[in-house]
Amino acid sequence: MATRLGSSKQMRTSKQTLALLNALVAKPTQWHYGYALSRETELMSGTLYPILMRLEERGWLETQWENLQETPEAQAEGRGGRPPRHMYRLTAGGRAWATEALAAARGTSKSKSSRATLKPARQHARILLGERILEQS
Amino acid sequence: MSESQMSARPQQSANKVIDFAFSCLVLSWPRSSRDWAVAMQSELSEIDNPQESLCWLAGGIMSLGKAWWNQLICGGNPQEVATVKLPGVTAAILLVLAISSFALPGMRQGVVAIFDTWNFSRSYLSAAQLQKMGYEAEQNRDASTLAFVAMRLPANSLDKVRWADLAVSLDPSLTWVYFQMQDERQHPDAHFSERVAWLQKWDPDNAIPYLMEAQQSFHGFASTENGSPAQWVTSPNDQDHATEMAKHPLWVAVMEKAFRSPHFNDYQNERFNLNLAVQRKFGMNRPVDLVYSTIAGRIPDLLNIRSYAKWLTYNGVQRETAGDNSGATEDYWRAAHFAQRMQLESASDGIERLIAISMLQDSFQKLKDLYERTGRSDEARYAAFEIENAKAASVAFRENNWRLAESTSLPAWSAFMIHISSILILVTAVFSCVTILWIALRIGGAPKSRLALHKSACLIARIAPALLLLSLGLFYANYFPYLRSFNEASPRFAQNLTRTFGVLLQVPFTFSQFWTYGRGAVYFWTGFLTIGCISVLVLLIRMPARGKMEKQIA
Repeated sequence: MATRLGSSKQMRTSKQTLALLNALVAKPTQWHYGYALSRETELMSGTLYPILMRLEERGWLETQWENLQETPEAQAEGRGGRPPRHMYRLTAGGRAWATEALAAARGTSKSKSSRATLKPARQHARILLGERILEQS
Repeated sequence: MSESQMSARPQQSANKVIDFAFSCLVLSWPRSSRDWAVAMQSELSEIDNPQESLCWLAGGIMSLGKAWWNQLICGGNPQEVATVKLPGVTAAILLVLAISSFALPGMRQGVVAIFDTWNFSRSYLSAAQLQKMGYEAEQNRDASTLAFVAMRLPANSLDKVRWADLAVSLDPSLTWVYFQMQDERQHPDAHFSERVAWLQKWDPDNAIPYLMEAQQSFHGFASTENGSPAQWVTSPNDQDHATEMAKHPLWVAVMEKAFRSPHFNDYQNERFNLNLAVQRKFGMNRPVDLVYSTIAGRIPDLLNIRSYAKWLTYNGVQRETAGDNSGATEDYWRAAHFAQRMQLESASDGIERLIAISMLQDSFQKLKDLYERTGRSDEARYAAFEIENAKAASVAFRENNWRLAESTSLPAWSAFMIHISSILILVTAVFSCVTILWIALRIGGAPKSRLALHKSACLIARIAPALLLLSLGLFYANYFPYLRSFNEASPRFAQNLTRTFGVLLQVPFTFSQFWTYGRGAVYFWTGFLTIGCISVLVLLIRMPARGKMEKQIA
């Protein structure tokens, strides 16, 4: 699966994408498997794979097929007859972008939470104002 | 559970099924991104829980949809231009087979019948076409066509009556056409009485020509003196009713003639035969037209009949009170005899039959009471037997109609399939033509431009002829019983014909109501607009990306 385009076009960082990036950034040099990522991020395969496909398309994700003969763990586990699995990890560019995206997301969530604390206070002020108007009338 | 433990677990049969389903999924994945499907499938070996495997499969199906969507919107790899497969000989053979299936007369008739139902037209002949037919028939002295045209022309047409007169003068056996074409309630004709007199002379033993004469005056006085004609039947005060009626001895005299007539023929069979004969003569072959024409057949005014029957029983009661038992018996029997004739000679599911049964019950009840009072027990028992008969007939009529109403939902599946396959025929035919035209125009053109569209066109051109042939087969298989019903059409089976095709006609009406009225309309249009807007937005957003991508690769 060669990268079709090395596009640096911005990708929409949804909550699910962020969860996946978080998992990939946590162990950046290690290869990850699809099912393990699904369990870790609690994403359904129907959500996970399209994101992986998009990341790979943009050159942020490196993919590789597992070589069973060369993996001693696989030989030890007796994986004979099992199909090779697909593995994923972030590229250098992907890592930089993921770190940036995660930091940006944290910043946004902080400002959102501060707005959320202001909301009840504003509502309370409105109620008080309404009561005053009623008293005056 | 570790990966090694999972790999050691025995393959469960459920997982095998899911694995097989995933293999099918992989095969149906777009070629350009199929490796991802294989990647997803390879993970199945790590999942030991069948439920989780099923969820993984569901995710695979979702991803397949997304992959195809991306494939269609963004297109495949533009470098794959050499691999685009053009439609071949198989597609051409299938297309020729599909076109040649229209050589079957039933196929052409069926397609025309379905398009007629989609038009919601009650008659496919316009007034101008009818006029043309009428002029030609006049020149050829063709009585049946003239009568056919006269029956169908609108009431304000100047030629309507003239052609009816000409048809009757050429063939007096068509005199009945005056009943089926005349609507004296809407447009009283100056020469109406004259034509009714001709009909009475031509068919003196039939009650219908007398009823025609009587109902004209009935509508004159019933609607002006005491509200609507319906009030004459439902009025609780019989005395007022009778007093009003006594003021119109002419009407009473004509109704008496009608009630004494030995036959009750409303010329439905004659109308059906004429329609069928003329349709076949001109090769019209339009079932919907015949069905509508049969359904639209005229029946006598039932309120007029009911009013007179009520008046007869009221008079009988008055005579009984005055001690004139034989006069009362005569009145009751006159109403009963007419009702019996009406019941016997009307259509089994017609409203006339239901009215006749009700009249029978009323008149025999009066007779039974009278016979019991005068000690004529044998006659009283006979009257009681007739009442029971009428009750049973009433129950049977209602059950029969209920069954008919229920049965419409059973053959509705075949009707539904016919309409669905017709839509498929239309869509696949359009796709076949458009894509073949597209490919033909692109031969020798720039191969790399609009590659995604070209690939889609090639794919559709390969698939659409096969789908067209399949839709035609499905259509013909479902339409065949309808075709037989139409080919075997005769007055005896007229009801079968109207019932069979009624189901076919019902489908477009049901659907038109679905998206024009009520909650269904809101859901339909909301969904339609939402999907439409999303599709347009996605196309607008993704199309420039595709162009950019092609440029970069070039």
